[in-house]
Amino acid sequence: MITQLIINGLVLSLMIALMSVGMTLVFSILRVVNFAHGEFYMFGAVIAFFAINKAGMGYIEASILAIATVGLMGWVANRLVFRRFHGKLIEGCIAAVALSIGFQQVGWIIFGPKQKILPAPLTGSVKIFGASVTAERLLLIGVSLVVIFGLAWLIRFTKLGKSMRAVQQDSEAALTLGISVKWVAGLTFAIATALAALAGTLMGTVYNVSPIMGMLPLTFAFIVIVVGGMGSVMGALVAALIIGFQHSLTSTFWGPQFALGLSLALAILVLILRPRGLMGNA
Amino acid sequence: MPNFIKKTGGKLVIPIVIIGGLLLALPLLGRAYYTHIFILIFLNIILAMSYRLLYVTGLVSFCHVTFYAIGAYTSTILAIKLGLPFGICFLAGGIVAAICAAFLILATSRARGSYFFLISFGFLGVMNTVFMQWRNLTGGSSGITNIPPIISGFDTVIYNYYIIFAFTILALIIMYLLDRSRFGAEIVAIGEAEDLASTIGINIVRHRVMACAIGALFAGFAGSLFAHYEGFIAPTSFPMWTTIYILSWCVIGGVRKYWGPIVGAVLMTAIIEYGRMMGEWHAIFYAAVLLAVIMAMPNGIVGLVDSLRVRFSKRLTRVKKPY
Repeated sequence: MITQLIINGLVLSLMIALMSVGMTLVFSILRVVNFAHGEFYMFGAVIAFFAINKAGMGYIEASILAIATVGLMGWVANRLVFRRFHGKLIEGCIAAVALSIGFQQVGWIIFGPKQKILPAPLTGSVKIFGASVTAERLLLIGVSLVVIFGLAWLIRFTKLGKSMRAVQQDSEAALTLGISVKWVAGLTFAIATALAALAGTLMGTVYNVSPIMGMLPLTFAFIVIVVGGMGSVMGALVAALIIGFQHSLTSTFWGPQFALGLSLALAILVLILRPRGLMGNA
Repeated sequence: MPNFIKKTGGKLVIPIVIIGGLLLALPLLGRAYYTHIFILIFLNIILAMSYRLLYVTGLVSFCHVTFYAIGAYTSTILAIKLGLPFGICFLAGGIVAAICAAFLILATSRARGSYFFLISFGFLGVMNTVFMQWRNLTGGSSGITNIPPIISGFDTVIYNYYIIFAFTILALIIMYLLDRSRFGAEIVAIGEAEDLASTIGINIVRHRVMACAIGALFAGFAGSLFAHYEGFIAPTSFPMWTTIYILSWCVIGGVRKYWGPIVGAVLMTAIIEYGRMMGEWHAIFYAAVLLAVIMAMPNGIVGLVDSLRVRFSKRLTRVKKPY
């Protein structure tokens, strides 16, 4: 029972972490809250679904294709739309919402209203401390952890990560030091959307794939970047764990219908006590 | 009202009288569908104008639809559970929404910019859970049906049209006077430069609470009118998207100017209704229009018209100068 709870909480936390790290990166660089992030998550799962069922690809190839395509879409979306709203919070939000409405409708048109599920690459289950855990959940946990630590390494130790942090702190000063802010912003956007697509392809094997599947992860990611502090990757990870486990525990002991409301109440409480979030400095 | 006419130079009186006359005559056409659309446009105008009050103080909220919903639920519950007459329910709906807004602003008075935006989103989600889960009061997800009409016995679309039209005019006049008053100038000052406003002795928190309470009051009134007009409310009547629509009407019309939200609300409601004929493409059409307007006109339609006017009048004065 306890093992099951921990695994469920961890799966949810990691999915939220993959989404919210991307959103918080985009916010820290472009100062835009990307409300279309959930739609990139949806596109990740939908493209993987079509690649598997129509083109007959394996799960791994389909996922890579989906992640690459969505990353490219993110780069184009930044190039055409988001770049113009650098630093304009409200206008950027409305533009993102417009994209979200449009993308969701594209999802309805190409995918239809029926809920489907991605075939899992691994089947069977493993016994851990007496609880049986499906192998796909373990795969999901493993891949997410590797990706999140890889991203942390990228931000901390590579030149690209250094320029991302520089742009985050002061984009004009970064420009004078020869960092191409446009290039960094585009790359950040591509990475963020690719992470959303990865979350989509992973979660598509556990939950359903549908045009509106992006709404819930978007809401979670939104709560998490609030609680963690906007623009802080570390804060997003900590908050993702808190919110993921809170959601899993509330759903088990109280009822799933209260879980989201409680998360939001928690977020309001954190913001009243610490207006910049747990680790925010934006 | 002579002051009002003097200030606008009488220029606006003739167009207002013509438009008002046309709107008064509209239900006589006998097309219930158009009458219904115009009722929705009136409610949307009230929502957009009341949202503008929050927006100009620099508090961009994400929960305006929640005040609308609070007004609708309060009014409905009082009317059905206690059997109170419409007038009392209507006032209570607005006042409860205003009190909620005042508490929200007081509790979050330290949060700024994007953080307030996110807190208000949290408030929206929490209240949505309340509406969904407090079943014996709000009816849960199936909502409340058989809400008594605004005036019992006169519940046709046409009567409702005139009542809501009259209230919209009243709300617009109050908003206009507020906009031209000292208080209106002070809340704009807070939105433009908060620190500067506080150095000249404007009480920031009190003004923000006042502005948001007045905005929520009118949103609550609109919610009450909506509930008693439709006769049915549920959490799905107040989706999160409505709040985004309200925000987009304000920004598209141009939020700095009094006329902006009105233009935005009328135009975009008309586009949504027109778009319904396009079937599954209507959302893409709306999204494209929204994106095009926000990218091409960052100050909104009224802002664009104003800047064009300034540009042309400058050109004229330059010609007149002797050197």
